[in-house]
Amino acid sequence: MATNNDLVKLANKHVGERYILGAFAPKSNANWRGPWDCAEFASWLVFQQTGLVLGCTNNNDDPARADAFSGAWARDAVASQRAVSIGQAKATKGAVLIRKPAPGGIGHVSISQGDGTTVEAHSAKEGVCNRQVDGRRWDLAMLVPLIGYPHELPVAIFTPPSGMILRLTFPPMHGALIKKLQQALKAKGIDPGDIDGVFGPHTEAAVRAFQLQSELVPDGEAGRVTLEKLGVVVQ
Amino acid sequence: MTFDFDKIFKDALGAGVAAAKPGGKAAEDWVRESAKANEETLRAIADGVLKKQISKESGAMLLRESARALESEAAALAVIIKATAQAAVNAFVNSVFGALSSALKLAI
Repeated sequence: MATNNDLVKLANKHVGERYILGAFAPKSNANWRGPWDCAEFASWLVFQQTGLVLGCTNNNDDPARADAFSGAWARDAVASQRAVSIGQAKATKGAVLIRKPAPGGIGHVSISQGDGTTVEAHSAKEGVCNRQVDGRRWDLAMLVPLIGYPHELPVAIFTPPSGMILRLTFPPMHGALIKKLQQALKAKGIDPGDIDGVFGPHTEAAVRAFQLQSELVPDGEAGRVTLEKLGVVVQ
Repeated sequence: MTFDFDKIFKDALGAGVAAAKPGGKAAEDWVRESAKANEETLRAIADGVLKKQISKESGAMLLRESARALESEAAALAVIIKATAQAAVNAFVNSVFGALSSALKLAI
């Protein structure tokens, strides 16, 4: 049985490889070297270590064709017998951290290294790289089936992002800051829909378009990095 | 009435740590560190509402999310301190969220 160390070791062999949102990785191709996107990278790693198709739209699909998606990772984490807290995932090598996408949107998936850092297919700018668990928004975490983990899981304290993250929620977030965000997007030539101060699907799509243009993580959520890049000052 | 986030947070932390005492130092440290890890997030939400950058409804929703996240972290702890940690998180959450909702007039 592969261990959590094996999973992280394999992931790190791919650091520096290219990221393209929507890239497809044939899970059964052991020689694949990218391009990746976040969910494809996590699903490819899991298949290589366990022979299990996970985090794909259809996990029963041929591994050469199964399409990975952060929403499918979120679905599998919810259904999993091995869901863990974010603090446990932060401290557990090989745990999977998931930012759930809003309906129709895109989330994010990364692999914890157990020391407060991750290995993940991050963005067009950074490619596959190591990042911090803290200071970012995560909704769910899970251990990968058929991977050996320590019997007693360690626990760490997870520090969520210090500022507000503007994103698509139900009911939608609204307020002056969201209006500022919409105005900033429009000024950059990206149409967020009505400038009404409501973070709806149009605003989310516009944030994602801006993130792609700026080579940031294209998750449609405007946190500190995206807001700074847009010149939106949170007073 | 002046809004004093630091006092609200300090009082809530006191309530949380007091509720964690039966679980010993591990439970007390856990609730203290967890609360502090969430301090800036809670402050940002409170500031956002206070400065009218986000609506009260959005602020209330974000606070509820923070509470749920803290509760699920407590639920994942080892059995030996779990019950106390959950009680401590409840005490902290009830205190900080009660005070914030009252001061900011939020419906939480």
